[in-house]
Amino acid sequence: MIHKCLLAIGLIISGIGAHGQSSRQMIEFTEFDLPNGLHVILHEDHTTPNVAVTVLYHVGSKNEKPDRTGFAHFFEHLLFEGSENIGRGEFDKYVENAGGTLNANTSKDRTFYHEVLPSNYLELGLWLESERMLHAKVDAVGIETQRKVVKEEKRQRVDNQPYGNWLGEVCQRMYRKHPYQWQPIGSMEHLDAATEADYVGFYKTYYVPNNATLSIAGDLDIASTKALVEKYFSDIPRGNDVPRPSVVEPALGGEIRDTVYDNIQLPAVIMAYHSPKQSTKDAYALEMLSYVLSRGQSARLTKTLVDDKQLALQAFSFYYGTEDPGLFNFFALCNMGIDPAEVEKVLEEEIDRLKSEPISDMELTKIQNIMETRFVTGFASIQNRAEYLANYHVYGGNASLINTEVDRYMAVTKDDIMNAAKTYLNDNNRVVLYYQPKK
Amino acid sequence: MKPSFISLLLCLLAPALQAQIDRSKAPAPGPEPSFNMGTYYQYELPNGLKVIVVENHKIARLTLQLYLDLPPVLENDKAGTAYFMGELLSKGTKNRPKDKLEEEIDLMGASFFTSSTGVYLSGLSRHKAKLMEIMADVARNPTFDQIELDKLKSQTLNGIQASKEDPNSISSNLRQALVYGSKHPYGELQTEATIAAIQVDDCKSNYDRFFTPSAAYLVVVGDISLSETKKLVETGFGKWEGHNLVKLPLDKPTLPAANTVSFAHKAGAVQSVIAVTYPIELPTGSPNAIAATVLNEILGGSSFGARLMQNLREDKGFTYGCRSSISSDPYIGEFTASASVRNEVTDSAVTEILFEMKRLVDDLATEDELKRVKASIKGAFSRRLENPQTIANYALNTAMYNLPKDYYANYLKNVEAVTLADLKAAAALFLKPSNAHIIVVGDGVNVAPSLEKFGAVQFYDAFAQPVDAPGFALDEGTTALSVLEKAIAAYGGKDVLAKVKTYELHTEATTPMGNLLLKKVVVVKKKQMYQGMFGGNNLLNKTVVNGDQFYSGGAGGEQEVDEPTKARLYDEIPIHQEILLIQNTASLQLLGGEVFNGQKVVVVAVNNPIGPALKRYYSLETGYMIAQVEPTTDGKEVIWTYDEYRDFGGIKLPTKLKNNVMPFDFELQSANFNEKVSKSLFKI
Repeated sequence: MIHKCLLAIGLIISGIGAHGQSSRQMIEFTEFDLPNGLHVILHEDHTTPNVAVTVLYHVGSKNEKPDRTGFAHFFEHLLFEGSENIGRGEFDKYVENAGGTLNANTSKDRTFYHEVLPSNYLELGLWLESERMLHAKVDAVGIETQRKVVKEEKRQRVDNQPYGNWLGEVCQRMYRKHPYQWQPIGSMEHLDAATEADYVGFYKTYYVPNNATLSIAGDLDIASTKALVEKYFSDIPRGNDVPRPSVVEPALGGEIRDTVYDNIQLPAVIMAYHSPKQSTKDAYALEMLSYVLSRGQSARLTKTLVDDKQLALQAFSFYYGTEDPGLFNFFALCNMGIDPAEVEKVLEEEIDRLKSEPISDMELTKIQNIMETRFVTGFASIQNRAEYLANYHVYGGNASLINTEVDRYMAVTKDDIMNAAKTYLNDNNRVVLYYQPKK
Repeated sequence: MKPSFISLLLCLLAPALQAQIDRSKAPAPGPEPSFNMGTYYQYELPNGLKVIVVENHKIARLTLQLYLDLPPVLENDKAGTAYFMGELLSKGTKNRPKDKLEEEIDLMGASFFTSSTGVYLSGLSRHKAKLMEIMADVARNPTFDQIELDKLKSQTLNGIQASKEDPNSISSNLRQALVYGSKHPYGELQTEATIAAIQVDDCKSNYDRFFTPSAAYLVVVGDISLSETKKLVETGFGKWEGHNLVKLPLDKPTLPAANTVSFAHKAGAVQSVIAVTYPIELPTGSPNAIAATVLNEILGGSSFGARLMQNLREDKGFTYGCRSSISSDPYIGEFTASASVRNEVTDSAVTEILFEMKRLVDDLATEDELKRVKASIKGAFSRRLENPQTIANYALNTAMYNLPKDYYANYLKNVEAVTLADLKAAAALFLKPSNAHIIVVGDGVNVAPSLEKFGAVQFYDAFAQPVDAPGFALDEGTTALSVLEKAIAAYGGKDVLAKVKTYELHTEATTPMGNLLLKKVVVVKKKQMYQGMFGGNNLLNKTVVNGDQFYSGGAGGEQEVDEPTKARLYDEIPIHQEILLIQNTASLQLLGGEVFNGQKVVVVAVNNPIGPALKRYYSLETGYMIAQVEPTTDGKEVIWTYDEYRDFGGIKLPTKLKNNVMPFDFELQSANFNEKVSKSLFKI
């Protein structure tokens, strides 16, 4: 039964082994599999009378063929075009007439669809997502329109933005064998070449319940929701086992240097290093390492490059975690008249420093507290909860990580960070790009 | 009997495996749930600081925000002073030098921002005492350090440099400057000049003048109790002293009298960033505001069903997204519709935006739309309440804008009450498709000409300063010589032109005083040229060249032909002057690519015996010379344009000739080549 709620209801449970003195708030949930392989996760949260209905399909740009890049993302657009029972343009209408919102996003590893609806429309959400999974329908008009829309998306987000394609430039050099070499937005030529036969094949291969996680969070009742899920999703036939790429990107075995000319005013320095895949011990160490370098105004890169030496307008590093081995990136925007080589030199000094001496106790406490704040505040909304429950299940094999992953970060030691720097941040394992203004 | 028992069993099993649902239609919703608005507590200190507290213990976070409700102020040649004052607040206090302040905040894992209107601090609630203490220290004890100001200025200048390539920044600058104008605080832009002029004392004066408790609100949200809050606020802010603020009168920006087109050229743009925008009178919380919100949702709200999205994205595929906003503001509000579209459809996109605006002015919206939008507003309202900050914002708005205490409690009821007639009335007030600034950032060379249909196109740089129309980069290897050779090829080719021994051209113009005929006869090798101008049958004047002899004269008698003029006349002997010009490339200069009369042209400067260099404009597409610009001694220009090239026996000649001095056009009537020419024409 959906009932009135007061805003101030909380779910505080004293945590066992919680870091520091903050009480750890556990996110409780129920999960189960349907016989057709669909994994279902349900979480109750009565803060407001809304539900987030989300489906994660374990397919992303890394599943694409090299001559059909951009396909997973293009497909994400097509999946709004209707089904056997939902006409073109009606999918959005159903959600919006109910007062809800909807959207989707595609990464290299997955495609994620989400609606947030008033809780009395939960069944609508299940019908919509099950229709998509069972028998999505796309016609030529929809394909043509979405092709144009996706092209504009690429122009708006990438081509027309200064430095817009920097990650693409990095990936195409870092990955010579692995599908991570191309970006989810893909290439315009491949988008033009895609045919109806292509999407039918893609749909039948990847949009199957045994490749999907249905994650629902919000003002719901577990038992009745379970029944509704079975009602709408049980009749969707299981698909074949899903093929996954097994490409292992070989070691770079050297340094690659290049210059990219763009419509920019300020040069930029980008360095990228091959890194372990997400959820490994080294991945956690690398992410904490990036916090030492660039989280907060007192972080090392900010202090040195931006504040003291005034060589850069902005400088940051981040660990780009993916299902297969990922990247560790540095990005610095040079101030006017500054030579990128000068900035690169300082970045390398900072890397050497990380390799030769452990970080201070104060820095360790600092990054632990920053990380803890991220976890405490990061799962406040039902949309985030639904998404991360699904992510943790698919990538980490365990949805409970939503409550426990923070401990893995807290377990990273100063030595772990130093060793990660020594292992991965080496010249023979990187691409260095200078971005320069055209002409 | 076994078989029938098994088949019966299977029959019973089968329906259970197939869900008994009717997929053909959407399921009906359950009964509508209600929600609670949540509560807040508000009180005021004797010094005028107003405190708003929203307790929420869902997660262990505390957010503090000090917000100053300040009147907008013109800064003129020191535009940016308040901005730098705000930035300097985060660069240390009297009790905490910058490094110490930054480390303390980072050690807590907290987020921290300052601005000209206040301070924001958010972190884990177990740090509540320190968070409040730091907030008070930053707000009350700033140090305005020269070195930090210099660093900030340098960073800001670098940021401005970077923004010169960001089409959204450019669009925003133009929008500010054009919608509000430079006499309104909202229209002022920071520039290199204004930044250079700002001193530390200016920042200090700004702080002293504006950072006062009587204008301030302290908003406390999260995992803290009311009694704890009161204690910490008293400690931090109880002794903060200040004064009352005086509000000065402000100019009111006005609508443009007609649509104007303002274009900022961005080299290499693959999209146009479009903004259709103008100022509106819409005070926050005024009676019109709710109808305006509903209207905007229909026109260009966040849903895919909004008119602009349906038209420009779903129907025409012009764009990834097209939205509009009708913004209320206590001083002056704003309407903006915006989209990023591919270059080729820029003019069509503007047409469609104006069309959708006009449609809502002329016709009622539909009941379906109204229903959908009301549901959408209600849904958003409900979702927003997930964040306790929302309650705090409502409390802040209620206090700042003097809204009725139950404004937000009644908000959805008032939304529900909006009718189609209300929307049409709001459209009349707030949608102005004929009085808009049409601002486009994109390819000024290829796209701007197509926008002339909306109004004369004025070009601006990234900081809203008027500039000339942009040039474009020519292909590598383009030289003055290559341009002229291309022209010769277009005219018929070197060989064909070389075969011209004699020619006669008749050109006519219709004037109010009767027909004018220009007759030009040339014998190339003998350097013989006759140019006569006739009014009806009367010879008005003529110029004759016969080898090394010259004559010029008419009704007014003979005129002397000086040496420069003689050289100029010799230039006019070939059927196309390019034949001569390519023999003396030293007299040529390639000036570059430009857009002229909507066409891309390559401009070549040519020595002019009688004055400053001539500029010859060659169409990039056809190769023909389409214009010649001759500067005159009094600083003006005589511009001749040449259109509608036609074939005359294998040779192309322009048949429409115009200039900017005479109010009539010339038309080439006939061109004859290699016919017998009467020698008497050239007798001097």
